Amino acid sequence: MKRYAFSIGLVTCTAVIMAAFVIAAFADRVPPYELVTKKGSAEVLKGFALEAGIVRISNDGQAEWQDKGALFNQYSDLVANNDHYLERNELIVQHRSFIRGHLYSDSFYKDNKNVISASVNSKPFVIQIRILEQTNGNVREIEIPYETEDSTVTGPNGPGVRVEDVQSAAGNLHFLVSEIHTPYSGNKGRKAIYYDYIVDYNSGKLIERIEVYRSPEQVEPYTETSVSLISEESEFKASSLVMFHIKTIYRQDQKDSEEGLAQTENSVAKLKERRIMGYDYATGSTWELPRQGIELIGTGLEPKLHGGKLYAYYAENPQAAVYFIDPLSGKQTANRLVLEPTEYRGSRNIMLADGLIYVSWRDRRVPKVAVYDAATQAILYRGEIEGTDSRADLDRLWKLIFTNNGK
Amino acid sequence: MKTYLKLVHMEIYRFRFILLGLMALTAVVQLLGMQMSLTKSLNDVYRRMSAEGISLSEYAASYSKLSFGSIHSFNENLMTFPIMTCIVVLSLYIFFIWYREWFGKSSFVYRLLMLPHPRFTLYLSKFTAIMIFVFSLVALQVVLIALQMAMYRIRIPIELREYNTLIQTIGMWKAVIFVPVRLQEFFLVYGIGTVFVLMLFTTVLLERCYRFKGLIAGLTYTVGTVILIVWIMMMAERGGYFFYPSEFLIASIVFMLFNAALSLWLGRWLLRKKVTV
Repeated sequence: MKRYAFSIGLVTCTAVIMAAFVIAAFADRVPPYELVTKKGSAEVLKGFALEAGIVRISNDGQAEWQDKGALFNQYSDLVANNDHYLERNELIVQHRSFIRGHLYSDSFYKDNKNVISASVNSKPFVIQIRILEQTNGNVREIEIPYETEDSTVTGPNGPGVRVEDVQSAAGNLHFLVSEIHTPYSGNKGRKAIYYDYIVDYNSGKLIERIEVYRSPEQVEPYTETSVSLISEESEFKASSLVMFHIKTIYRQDQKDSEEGLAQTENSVAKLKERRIMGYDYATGSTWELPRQGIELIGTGLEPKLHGGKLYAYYAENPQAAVYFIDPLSGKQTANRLVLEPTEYRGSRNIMLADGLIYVSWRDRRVPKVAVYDAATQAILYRGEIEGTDSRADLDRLWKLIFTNNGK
Repeated sequence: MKTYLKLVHMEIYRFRFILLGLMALTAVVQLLGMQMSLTKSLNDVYRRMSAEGISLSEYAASYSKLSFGSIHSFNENLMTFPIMTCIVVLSLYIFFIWYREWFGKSSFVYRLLMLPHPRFTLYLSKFTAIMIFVFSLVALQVVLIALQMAMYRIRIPIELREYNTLIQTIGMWKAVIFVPVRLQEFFLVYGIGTVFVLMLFTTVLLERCYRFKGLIAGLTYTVGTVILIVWIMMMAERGGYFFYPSEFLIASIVFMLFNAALSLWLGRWLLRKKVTV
């Protein structure tokens, strides 16, 4: 036996240490945090989870580690059914064969009747539409040719064309398509165009193409116009309108004589003009958000569209408030909802979903959650994260981000 | 069974000095690296405290704590170097464990192949020995992290300390891939490693049986398998294909299991029917 002492010792030590390691890993399999309800019912959080770094906490008292390990992270959103944190990953659970190979389509729409995905194929440019009729499970595929303009003045890959939004209105399907031209350098040829492709639901034929927005010709030196789309916060939800946040920026270099990087580093950007333009899918009309609304948003708020209403807030601000703006008149439709102050700048997260406002923040090192009814501003739910044992360190949960967990 | 255990012991005993050397190298480099990182981190803190004229508690309130992960990453290369050395040495030993029988003193392979037991026992004993070496080094790494955590607790003032469990600490380490803390990843990492060892064993036996042609066939088989596994994993990571990432994962696991079975069968067949001295 003595002859084998080295081997026996090595194997025994290894087995004991590895067993202890497995026991430790097993004990650590559940993060030591839970969401504790202080007011209302946690039912309002059903379908959502709170993510903080590598921890995900859901309303059913469950917490799980986010990281599945370096090799498994790429599979993590698909391995388990409760792991679908992206909104469109719900579709994998509900319509697995329809979404197969199309998870990264440009845009999705879903209602009781249909699930629609749309993408732009670039060679040649074609809008590819797939419609799943939920009643009979049939899948229809429609292709609408798309013609770009002035492709010669753009980069080697041509303009960037994508379907930004899909909606259904008055029996027709609407596909909001953006065409972005980005030249190698300078402003000449730089432009953004948005079209509404209106397609007949039954025949799949293109009825009309409406040019919704075209960025102005950049004639003034140092001036550039940027446009960002304000679409419904929930990707699948129906919205009768969409809005465009258009900013004209004057960029003057401090050192005109110097070339290259130094110019970029020293450039001074000034906002020359801000516009917010609305587009109604049903009527095809556009309008400008009146000055009252523009001035309010211009105080540093981010406009968001949800349920056909315009919201504005700046979540990063420790003393934030949510403003409710009528997208037509630009007037505030209700008093602002003043949120509880958060400890650190940037530690608040706000999500709009199903007519509710979900807010997370930190108060005296404790991560807290509240859910408000957007219509009445009544607080429906209040909760906070608590540690379940001595391993818990609430400082780690610096910011809780609301995500969809597909439940 | 007794023959198998004796053969395993023989392989472990033959490798003992190299194994102990690797363990010593890992322990010395990593513990010294941790000591250096702790000293540097604390010096930085004391320098800043002195420059700003603040106390330790004021520093803790103004700046972030000194996490184990941040201290450990000061000398990340130093921490990873012994691990890479162990991987390289063990990878080379996968070949050496076979070739020493043929090219060592008095062609020991004569005696091994003449043993009155199935020759596959020889294959299994060598494979077991390699896996024991691998897991003993993994176990050492776990112990070393526990020791480094103890050093962290001893040297870092409580105001600047962050509490972490052993598993959290290993999870924060950049080289966590070598000591996976999630069960599924542990099986995947060491499953891939096991299949790789089996394929290299097959390559060696093919070479011993068919010489240069066997070597080419074995290397093609091993390299081809590795390329295919990496390609499947890359497709899973990129996404947007007909198959979902989880299906790619299942495909790669099935493929690896098939390769493991093929390698074992081929190794057994080669040892029984083809291998010559």
